[in-house]
Amino acid sequence: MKSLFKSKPRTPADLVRQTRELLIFVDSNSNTREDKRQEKMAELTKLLRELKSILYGNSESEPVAEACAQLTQEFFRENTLRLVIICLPKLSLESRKDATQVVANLQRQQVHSRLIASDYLEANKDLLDLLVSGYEDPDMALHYGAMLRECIRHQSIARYVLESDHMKKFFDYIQLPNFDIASDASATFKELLTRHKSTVAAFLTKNYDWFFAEYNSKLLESTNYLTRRQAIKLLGDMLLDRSNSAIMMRYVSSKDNLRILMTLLRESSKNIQIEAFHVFKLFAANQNKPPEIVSILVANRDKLLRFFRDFKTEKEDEQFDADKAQVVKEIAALEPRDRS
Amino acid sequence: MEKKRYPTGSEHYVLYEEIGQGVSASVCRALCIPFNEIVAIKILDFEKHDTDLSKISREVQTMSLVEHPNVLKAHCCFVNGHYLWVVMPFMAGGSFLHILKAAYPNGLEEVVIATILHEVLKGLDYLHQQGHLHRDVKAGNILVDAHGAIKLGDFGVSASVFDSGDKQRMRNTFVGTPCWMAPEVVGQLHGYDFKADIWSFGITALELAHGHAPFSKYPPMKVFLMTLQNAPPGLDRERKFSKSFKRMVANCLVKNPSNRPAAKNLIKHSFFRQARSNDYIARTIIKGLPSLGNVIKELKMKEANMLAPKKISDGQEEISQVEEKKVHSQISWLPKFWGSSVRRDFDGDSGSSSLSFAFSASMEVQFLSGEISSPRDRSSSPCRSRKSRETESRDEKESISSSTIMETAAKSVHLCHQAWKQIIYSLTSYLRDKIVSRLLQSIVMTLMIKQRHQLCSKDVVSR
Repeated sequence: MKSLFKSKPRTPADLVRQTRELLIFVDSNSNTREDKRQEKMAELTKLLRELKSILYGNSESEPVAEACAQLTQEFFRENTLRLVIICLPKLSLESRKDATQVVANLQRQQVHSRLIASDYLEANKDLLDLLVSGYEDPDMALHYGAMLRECIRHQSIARYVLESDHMKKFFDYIQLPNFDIASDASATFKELLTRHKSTVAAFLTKNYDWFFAEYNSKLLESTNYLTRRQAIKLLGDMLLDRSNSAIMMRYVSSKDNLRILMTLLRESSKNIQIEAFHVFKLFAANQNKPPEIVSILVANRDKLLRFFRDFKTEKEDEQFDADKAQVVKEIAALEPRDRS
Repeated sequence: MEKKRYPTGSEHYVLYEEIGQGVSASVCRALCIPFNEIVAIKILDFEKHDTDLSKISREVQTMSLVEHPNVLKAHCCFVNGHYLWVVMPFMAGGSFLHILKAAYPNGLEEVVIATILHEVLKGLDYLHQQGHLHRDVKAGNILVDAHGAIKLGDFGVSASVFDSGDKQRMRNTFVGTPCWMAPEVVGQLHGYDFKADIWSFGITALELAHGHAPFSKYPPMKVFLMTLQNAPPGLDRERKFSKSFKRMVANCLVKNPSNRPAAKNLIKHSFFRQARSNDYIARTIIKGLPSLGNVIKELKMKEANMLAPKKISDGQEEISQVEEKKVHSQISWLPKFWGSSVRRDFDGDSGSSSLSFAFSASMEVQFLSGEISSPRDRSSSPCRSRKSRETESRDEKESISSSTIMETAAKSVHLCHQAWKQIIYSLTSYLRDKIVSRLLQSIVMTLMIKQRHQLCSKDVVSR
């Protein structure tokens, strides 16, 4: 008897279609009986897990490219991604995690050597607004955050987020009290500011004033140790990137920036001091130091030289020692310009 | 369903006594004031981690997203000064390592073991289904609360990041971790396969049955070699254990990982039919135990007493039994050594296999000592899930080369075999460069000389 009713094995596209139907049901919130609803939720949980194992493989088998392509195509043919994102808060924790992994994986799936996820997102940019605001909901933050980080692998999507008003919110998100959420937000922030070089350089050039004003006051001068430590590290990464050299020149020509960096050099945390040094050295090594930078360095010359004499990394680091020697040489050779 | 939200601020907690200590983290019993609930708080010093902090945050995220009765979760975590506080459920019974040391030095009864392992396996199966590897299954990471509920703690890289336990345990982690390590950890495509956890699980079964892990009295280098060369360890024949127990252990401790059962299949083994309830553990094990704080204090004192005479009388034990500082220096040369072997073998694709091993070994040790990690030596990626591996490897030369090299290695049929040779080769070549200790050298040389000849001849052939 059983074999009579046994359905044919469902194709990946079938699975996506069924998932979509169930999501529509979940989303519509109709007044169905509780047991019926639970049955459907259980079915949805199973489907999401199946989708995940098609994309990632399981302990028995590796993923099959053809199946992944079918799944991806069907997924983006209609609004399944939107439904998943909207319905996520209504799913169980395990389903949320599965759904997040599915969405993350889909961002890398190519169909006919095109990333169709990118095309879909470009046509549905409001979804990104939803994902970013997820950081305000502690239950959703890690799921939406993980999805968001995958989405900004697409350059056009990263550009959208960078240029949106959301960028300003990140300065608060990365200081949220929950460490797991805050660190997720700072991982996304870092990704946005380092991944797509040309986009980042364009963004920083255009938004230099407000961005670094916020960066200095909210992050580098934060009362939170971890915020300062991560911010100074990221600042070093950004300024030392060759594609950002114009921005770096602008940054190291400001005496306010120099003051902040000198404060960070005096921190009690060794890790912050070291990272601060990697930015400070740019001020000193700049061959066209503006007079105001020179005069600050000259005024503090003795203190700085004394400081650098005892300033060492815990482990031997040749690059650091070479940089330090260079900085010391530069500072020692400085002459006050207008007093003669 | 409203989730219980634990407050994120140190002012909401009162810290009590320390119940565990590692190099960069310690664990305290504490009161969560608004809930009037006892919790455990792991306090980790960021300043002692000069590497990438993203590893810590990823592990904390995983810990806060698990929901299974047999896996320890993080209630919440927050930054306090330059410390990270991770609030977790308080497990009043401590770890089974503590329990073994304090009350059952010769091992537990079989029914108790079956009950413990059954719970552990449920947790392990959950983690595996989630795509997480535990990587550090051992009695020291099996925790039990006052009601006998058993949870697997410290999973993932956090095994080392959030290393808990007293100093006694810490040394055991270093000496001990090799004891729990599967032979193919050397050669797996993904660094650590799920099946490696099953090997560790089998070793843990032996640990619970005997009171200590096999080879645990040997120095780490020797343990590596013994794991590779000896037949898999088994249950003590002189003691009465059931056939199904012996079979279960033998199933786990098969050298070829593909012949080991997955967690979800192992759980059906007849050995676990005798498993009892949490309540049984509470009645038989937990009841008679002194409080965790006292257990740890006592263990510390015991250890201090044991150490002093041993040091003088027993020269043979030098490597594993010296005081804290020496253990550290031991630790610190190990990863460098593995590291150098990695670089040396980089260009030949046979070097691949030792690479993944090197990564996992150095990682384990790196975080334990907390002082030898260098920012560029971010070593976890080859061992993690596929997804995170991809994300991480993007800007990390080492990981990229390691994964591509590992891909090539996958094609090799004699992968494991070669891997063993590699590690052996690295051992010998390192020993050629530097004299570590006469003892080690003699052990390694005698064991290796044959292998080395084989390897050399093979090299010639391949050229």
